[in-house]
Amino acid sequence: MIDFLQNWIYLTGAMALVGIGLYIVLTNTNIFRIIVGLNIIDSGTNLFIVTIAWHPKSVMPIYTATNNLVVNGHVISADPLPQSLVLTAIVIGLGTTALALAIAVKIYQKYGTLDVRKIKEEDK
Amino acid sequence: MMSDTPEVVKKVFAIFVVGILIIGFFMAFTQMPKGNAVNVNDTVSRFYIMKDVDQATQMLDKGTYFNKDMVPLRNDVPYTPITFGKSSNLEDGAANVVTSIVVDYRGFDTLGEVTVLFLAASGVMLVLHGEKRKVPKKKTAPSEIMYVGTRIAFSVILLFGIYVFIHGHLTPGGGFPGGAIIASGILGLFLGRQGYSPNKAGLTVFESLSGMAYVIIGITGLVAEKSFLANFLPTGTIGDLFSAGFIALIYIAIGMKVGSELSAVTNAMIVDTEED
Amino acid sequence: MKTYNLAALLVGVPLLMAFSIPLFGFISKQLTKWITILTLGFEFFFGLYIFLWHIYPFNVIMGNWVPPFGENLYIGPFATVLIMLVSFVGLMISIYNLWSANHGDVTHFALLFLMFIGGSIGLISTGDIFNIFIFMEITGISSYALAAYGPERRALGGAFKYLVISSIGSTLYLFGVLLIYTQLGTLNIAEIGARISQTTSGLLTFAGILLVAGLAVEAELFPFNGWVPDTYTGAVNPVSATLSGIGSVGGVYVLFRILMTVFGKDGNFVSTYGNIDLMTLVAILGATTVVIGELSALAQKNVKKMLAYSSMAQMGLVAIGFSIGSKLGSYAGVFQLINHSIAKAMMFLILGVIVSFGIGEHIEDMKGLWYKSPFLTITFTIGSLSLLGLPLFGGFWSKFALVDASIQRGGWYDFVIAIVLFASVVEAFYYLRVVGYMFTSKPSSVDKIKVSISPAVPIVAFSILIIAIGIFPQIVGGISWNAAHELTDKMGGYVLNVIPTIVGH
Repeated sequence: MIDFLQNWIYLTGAMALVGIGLYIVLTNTNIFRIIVGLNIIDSGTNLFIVTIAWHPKSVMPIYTATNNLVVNGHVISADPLPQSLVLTAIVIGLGTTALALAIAVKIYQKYGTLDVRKIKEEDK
Repeated sequence: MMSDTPEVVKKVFAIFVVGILIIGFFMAFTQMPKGNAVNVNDTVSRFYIMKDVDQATQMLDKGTYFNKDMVPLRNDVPYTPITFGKSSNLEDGAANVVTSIVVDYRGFDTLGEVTVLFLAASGVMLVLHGEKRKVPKKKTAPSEIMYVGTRIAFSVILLFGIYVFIHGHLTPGGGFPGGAIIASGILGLFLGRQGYSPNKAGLTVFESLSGMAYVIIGITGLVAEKSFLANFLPTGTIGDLFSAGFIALIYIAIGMKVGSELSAVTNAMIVDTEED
Repeated sequence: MKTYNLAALLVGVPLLMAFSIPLFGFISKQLTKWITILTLGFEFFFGLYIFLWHIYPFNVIMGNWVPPFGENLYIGPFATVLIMLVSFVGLMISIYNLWSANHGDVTHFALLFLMFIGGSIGLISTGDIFNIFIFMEITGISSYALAAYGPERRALGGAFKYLVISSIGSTLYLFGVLLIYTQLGTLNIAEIGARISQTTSGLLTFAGILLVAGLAVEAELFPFNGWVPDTYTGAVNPVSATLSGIGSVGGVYVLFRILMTVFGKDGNFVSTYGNIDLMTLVAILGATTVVIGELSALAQKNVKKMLAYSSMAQMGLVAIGFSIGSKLGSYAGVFQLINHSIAKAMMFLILGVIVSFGIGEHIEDMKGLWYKSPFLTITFTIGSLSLLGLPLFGGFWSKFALVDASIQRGGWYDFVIAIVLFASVVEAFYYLRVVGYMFTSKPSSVDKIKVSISPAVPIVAFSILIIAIGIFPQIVGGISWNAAHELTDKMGGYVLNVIPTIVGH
């Protein structure tokens, strides 16, 4: 029997989200649905990054009056580096989605349709 | 994606690609060390949490940080325990370790991130330039409650957003969530009255000045400490409001920038009056 | 470890000026274009200063935290030559923009153009793999918006396709970075490069495949380059010149920095799932790109689409050059990159001038161009001959070095020689076909095209540079040779310059 990692269920959930998002992007013909698919891929990626920072006995990495991060020379808090990476990744996902939506609005204004096949027909 | 192949072939190809990705990840996960797979003591975050990067740098200069096989001896670096409210003049005084990584230890990444958001907002304005959207004839105007309620809520939301980004070094949050909160307050103003549009020139000036403030803080670090984005203000006691050097200044700049930027993007997308 | 922290201005000054461009936009639109030109001129002269006074190689420490605990920029010979190339090509294209970019929102166009080049310079200098992701996104978002600019509506379809494919590529790259982090606990290129053999090989293979797949989108290798024809054809001509001359440079640079410095040891390693050699994989992808690109370009009747497919094929040649793994091969790759950027950017600018006078993009419209404007015909011919690899033009030395390196490597690389020669023959056919159309059939009414000074300066500068490199290849040959040494000698050329005490006692 294969030994599972401590956080296997969250990793599986994140990878399932990425898989669903990738399937949506590859098989849809409506531009708006493709953008939704990109968003789902971003959510799955961010969940994956955060999961890498967690183990079952971790505490939060903020010094407060009652929170001890270092016990006996050993660090027991969660890993703060992937958390800062995910801050950046969320903002980048937001920027890409905003730009994609602006392009989609302009496409609708100029072509009158949001169907990818019809746009390719008109350009031939 | 956009190809001329029939539907079934596209679906089969998509399932094939997704399947390869997921099987690959599954096989990769079985290779990770078992049990407690995440060990923070094995990563560079150990120094960020214990705030002894200076000690590690001294060991690196003496040549005792890496051993003969190029394995880093992270557990051998000396450290002093940190207590909330008592330890002062640390190398980086923020109580929130994630903030100290985002702004201080890896501050160059945050500068890049602010730039990404700025470029996305500029791109939206470039693409949507000159778009005219006629107001449809039958549109229900928002009621009186919406009008008054959103204005009252805006003041509270603005205050809460400012609280979130000023306390970025003590509590979770920081510049980016704070700016987003302020932008959602302005979105409420859009909902409250038809034909509302904020002062675009004012938003542009705010955005540019905050961005330039961030780079100028970096260049001040270059002049004062000979290194771009170095912390040149004193770090006080950990846990105080006036501690952690320039982290609060940077988060104020980021909060104002993100707030005005997202408001400008929302304005460009909603605009229902004729433009030039 | 040599540090020269003032070079942080290489990244700081474009950011500062880019944030201030909207304020200048209130005053006048032409002023924003001049700000772009001045900033790019500053970058080029700073790079030239680093090159001529031989200050390289050095580190730039960010935030006063020494690598591997903080971030750094590493400017070695490879980064120096690419910074000079990128800023020079950008400077010339921005001078062209003074005349051509007048439609729509000019302020934001100048801002995005400046940050595209600033982001490329940051991408080339940085020494941290997550920082590479951020700069990849900076250049990516600028190029999505730039590709959608223009009065034509076919630009939007190309820009959207590019956005979707590139987003997925960046996500795959991010997954690769995270898998490396879980094993080694650090994000610094030098430390990962030295310690990469301490990971388990199954994870290493999968991370390598994800990284190559993610980066091949920007580097325009088959099968990830479906976006190239539509995007290059749809965008306005200066933007196509930028994408092909600067965007692809960054993509190929990062791909081979990861393969040769991070995954080290000539870029090949053994995994538990068999012998997967990443460099051979990239060589195969490059060869396929060359064949498909050249054959597709042959079948095109639209000159712009033909140039786009030709760009794709030349990038395949560069990838083959680097993946040979020897010093001569890397030298051939760097030199080919320089030649292709200059020549292809010039040809897109020439096409832009032609199109702005009402002549179409179809090959039939090129008839009689010699009588209308001898200047444009001569410069177009110079560019074509350089890409073909004729002696006296720049492209000769790089193609010669590529064939020489393949012969020295031997093995199945003899097949590569056949592909390179086949590509040259096909290129000769379709480029000379266009040039031939230009010289034929004097039209009944000859209306001369007068090219104003603003688009003429970059075209003349590029032509002079091509002929200068053709006659005196030592101008860029010396530093390209140093760059090849930096890539092939991982510990001595890169890692020990960043972390000198990594081999402890």
